[in-house]
Amino acid sequence: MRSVRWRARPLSLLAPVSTVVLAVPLAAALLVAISRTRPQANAVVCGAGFASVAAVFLTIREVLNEGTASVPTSLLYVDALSGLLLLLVSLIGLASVLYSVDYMGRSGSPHEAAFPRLRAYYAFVMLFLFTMYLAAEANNLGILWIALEGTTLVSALLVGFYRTRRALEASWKYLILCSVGLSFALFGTLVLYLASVRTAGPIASGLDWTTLVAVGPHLDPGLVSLAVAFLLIGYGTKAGLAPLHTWLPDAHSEAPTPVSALLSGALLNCAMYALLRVDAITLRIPGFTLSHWLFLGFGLVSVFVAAFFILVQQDLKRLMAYHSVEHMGIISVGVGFGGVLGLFGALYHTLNHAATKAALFLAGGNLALSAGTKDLEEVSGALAALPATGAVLLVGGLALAGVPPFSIFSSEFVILSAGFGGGNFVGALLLLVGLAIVFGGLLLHLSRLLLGPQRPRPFAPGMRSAFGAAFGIGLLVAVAVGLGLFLPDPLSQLLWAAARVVTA
Amino acid sequence: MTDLGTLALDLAAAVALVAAWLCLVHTRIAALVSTYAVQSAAIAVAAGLVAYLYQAPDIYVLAGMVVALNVVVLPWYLTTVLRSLGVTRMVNMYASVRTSALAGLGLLLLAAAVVGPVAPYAAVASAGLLPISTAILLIGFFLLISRRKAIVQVIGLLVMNNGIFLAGIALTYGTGFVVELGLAANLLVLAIVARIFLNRMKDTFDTVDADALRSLEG
Amino acid sequence: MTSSLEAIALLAVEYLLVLGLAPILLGIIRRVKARSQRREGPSLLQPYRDLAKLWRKESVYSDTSSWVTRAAPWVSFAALLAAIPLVPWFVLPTPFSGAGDLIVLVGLLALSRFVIALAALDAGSTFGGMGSSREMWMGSLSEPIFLLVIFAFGAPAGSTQAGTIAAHGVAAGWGYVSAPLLLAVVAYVGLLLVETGRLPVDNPSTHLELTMVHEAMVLEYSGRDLALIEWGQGVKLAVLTGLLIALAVPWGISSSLGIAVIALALALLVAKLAGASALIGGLESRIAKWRLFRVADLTTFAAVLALGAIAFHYLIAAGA
Repeated sequence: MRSVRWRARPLSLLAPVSTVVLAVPLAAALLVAISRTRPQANAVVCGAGFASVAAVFLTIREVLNEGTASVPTSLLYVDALSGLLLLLVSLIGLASVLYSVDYMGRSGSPHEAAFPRLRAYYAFVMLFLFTMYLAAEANNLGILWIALEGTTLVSALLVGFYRTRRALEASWKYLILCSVGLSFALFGTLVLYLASVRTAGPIASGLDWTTLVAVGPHLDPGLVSLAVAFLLIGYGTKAGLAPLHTWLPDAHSEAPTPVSALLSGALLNCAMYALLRVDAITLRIPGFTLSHWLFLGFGLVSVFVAAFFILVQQDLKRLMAYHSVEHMGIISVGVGFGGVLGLFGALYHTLNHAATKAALFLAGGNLALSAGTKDLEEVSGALAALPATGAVLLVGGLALAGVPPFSIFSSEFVILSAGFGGGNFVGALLLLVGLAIVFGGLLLHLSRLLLGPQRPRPFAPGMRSAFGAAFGIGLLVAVAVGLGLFLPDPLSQLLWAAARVVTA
Repeated sequence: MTDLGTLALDLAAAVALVAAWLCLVHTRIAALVSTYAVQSAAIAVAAGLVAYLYQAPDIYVLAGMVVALNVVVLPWYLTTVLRSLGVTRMVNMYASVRTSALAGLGLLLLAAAVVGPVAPYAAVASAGLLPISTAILLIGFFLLISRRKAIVQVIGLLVMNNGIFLAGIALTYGTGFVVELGLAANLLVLAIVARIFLNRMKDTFDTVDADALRSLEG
Repeated sequence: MTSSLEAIALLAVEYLLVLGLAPILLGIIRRVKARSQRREGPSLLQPYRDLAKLWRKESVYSDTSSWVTRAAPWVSFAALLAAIPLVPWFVLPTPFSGAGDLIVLVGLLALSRFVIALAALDAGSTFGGMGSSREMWMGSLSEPIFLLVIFAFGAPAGSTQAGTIAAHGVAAGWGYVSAPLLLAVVAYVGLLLVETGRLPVDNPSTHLELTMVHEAMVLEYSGRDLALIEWGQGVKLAVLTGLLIALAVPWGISSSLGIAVIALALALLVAKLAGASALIGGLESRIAKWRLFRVADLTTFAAVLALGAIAFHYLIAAGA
């Protein structure tokens, strides 16, 4: 990719662009907090959304050219894997912010929030984004943990934003379960640190990714096994892997729609990113296979548990939430298959799932708004009533089910070929069975939802005039569909580089 | 023969373990809170001893942090929460006191089985420290899943954190100052967020019994 | 090695000491409780006066009672007397230590409890029946767990002989202190409260029919019999406290027979007993009476501590 050798010189004179990525949402949170009017607040968050995407693009460019992006302190580290997560978070963050403005930000918008609460909402969304960017850029696994715990604390408040009984229940469950999960992860992190200092000597940087990767081949397998077990349980809870997923459907279904999109598209991937970092360290140890079996096991269980709940689901947002469980399972299976191909597939799938699912959540929110309910039994024939939203749901739903030529089909194909190619026939076959069940279940729901006869409950007009929301959803759909047809060269480079960060 | 310092360390850890077990048998929330404070104090003492025995002065700061946060601020905070919410005094349980106590024993055995093989690797030369801290982690977890009141669940989480802290001391005498500062900050924020939720719960349900939170299934 | 003459002399000292000190231990506990309630409280010697007064009085028996009622105080007291030499008081090896180990001691305490419960049923009064039912229920909970606690103490020395355990402790010095020891001590203190009928299990200073346990059993007794039973309560407290001291803080028990050493050991013993009694009093004044069924919670907790101590010794401490 010689043609993109343009560098972010002017910006990096002031501060490395990777720092800008962190600074933008933080500054935006402050600005929003002191904003006086709705338009001011809306402008700040939209600006921050676009600025973040721009900064992330520059960071990725730097990563592609240099291998890593420059950082001001050794506490941070940005490589291709971080870059991929940054990309996901910033894109979904942008879409969700734009949607938020139309959904609840403007006066006259359907879920219009009172201004002080809107300001709090925006500030928390910005903090949420900041903690996720921090997770992506952390070098020290302790800082990574802190960032992830931070995401829990901030997003729990967002999940409980509508102070209804159900929202409160969902957010409490989310807060407690994820905090518990992360406590286990912290314990695992400590054990990993012990393993590190036993090899590298008593250095303060023992938890740094750079140190851990360097000493990786000499780590004690017994200690690392213990650490990996705790870390997988811990971050697995946060990533929504079954059987630790029980918070996920609640939180996703009760949160405000833009937050659901963020949770599903960005947050789950942050946890998965932490798991990948752990996996990468264990891959350095010769003959260490425990983590792959755990990934495979958790992944397959997630796919099947999700498949069951998808078949019997009555609620639109919960349906999508269980799809998140399924897809995190697929990603985890991909990681379990291992090899550069398996990881490439898993990362590719991460990107596709995030874009598709976020688009579906946003469109689904629009549908629920028009239909006045999320109950699948009561809504049908949406395609005729709401052509644009219906079309997004149709395309997104088909993509989610893994229909070619959409992007999810491509990445599932890569993961399965990694499985069969790597000799994991049983695992790959089981995955195929699970995917088939989900496929059937989803098509059943989709056909009734979109194509069936119009039910007595009338559709109200959705957010037809909302340009920002449409732009956000369109962006995500373009990614979800486009990546299946054509993988741009820089993105492909980034994915391969990220996969090699893990396997190398 | 073990030296006096390690002995004291063992005893401090044992006090923390007994306190964790006591948390499982208490039926009054106020007693739970003060036992948590005692446990934190024992852990702070353990941290201080490690700092002294292994000449790790930054651990003194940590010990001080634990005293300030877990012994003084959080128990005080929990007490004010209890008062302001008008929570009834009793801990409501899914598991009886006796079942809980026996589970506590089982969790110690489990912890010994899980971390036993790696316990000799711990940086601190006290055989019991790592199994005990793991047991405290698990006991906190059990407390959290076997009690019905939201505030008791928060205490369960705090007990888990104490276990982790002790483990951190035992394994490595700490993981670097930035990380620990972050942990402490997190704990504080967690407490504040939990309070916000408890307030909302009180407003919405008129109770802080997490049992009221059972409508979302499937 | 002590000659049998010396052994008999030491034994005599032990008996004098324990029988003589038993009432004052009760006095100390009462005084501490009174002070914690901002009362002056009776003199430390009051229990002696009470006993002397009762001793001089005539025993009155119900018409419906049999010889069981008459024999029980003596059998019970004899069982407690037999338990005294099983405890290492101030000299090691304990005189006549071959007579039995701590399992025998638990059996003797059970015997003394059993005959009193039997006598309480003998007269056929309601209170007696209620008291003995409660007492035996508590005994059935505490006795097996007492054995567990003894195993917890005995694990490091590999013995259930109190003398051997204490000798191990004296020899090991500070090394005897350990996490399992702490757990065992806490468990023992819990059981001590159950066994001696102190708060929160039973309140020795109440005659409220709803709550009393031991007092309900001995309501029928008077005069010399009652004096024996009350004295026996003191002896039981002294034996259990003395055992705790020997197992938890054995340092100071003399291993030789020099006059000066023995005198020092005796002084230390008296100080330790007084201190332990004061601690029990302090503990009691901080707890409220529990509902009867919570006794099972207390004993379960003691069992958990004891088993935890044993597990700790064999699984964790041994693994290092």
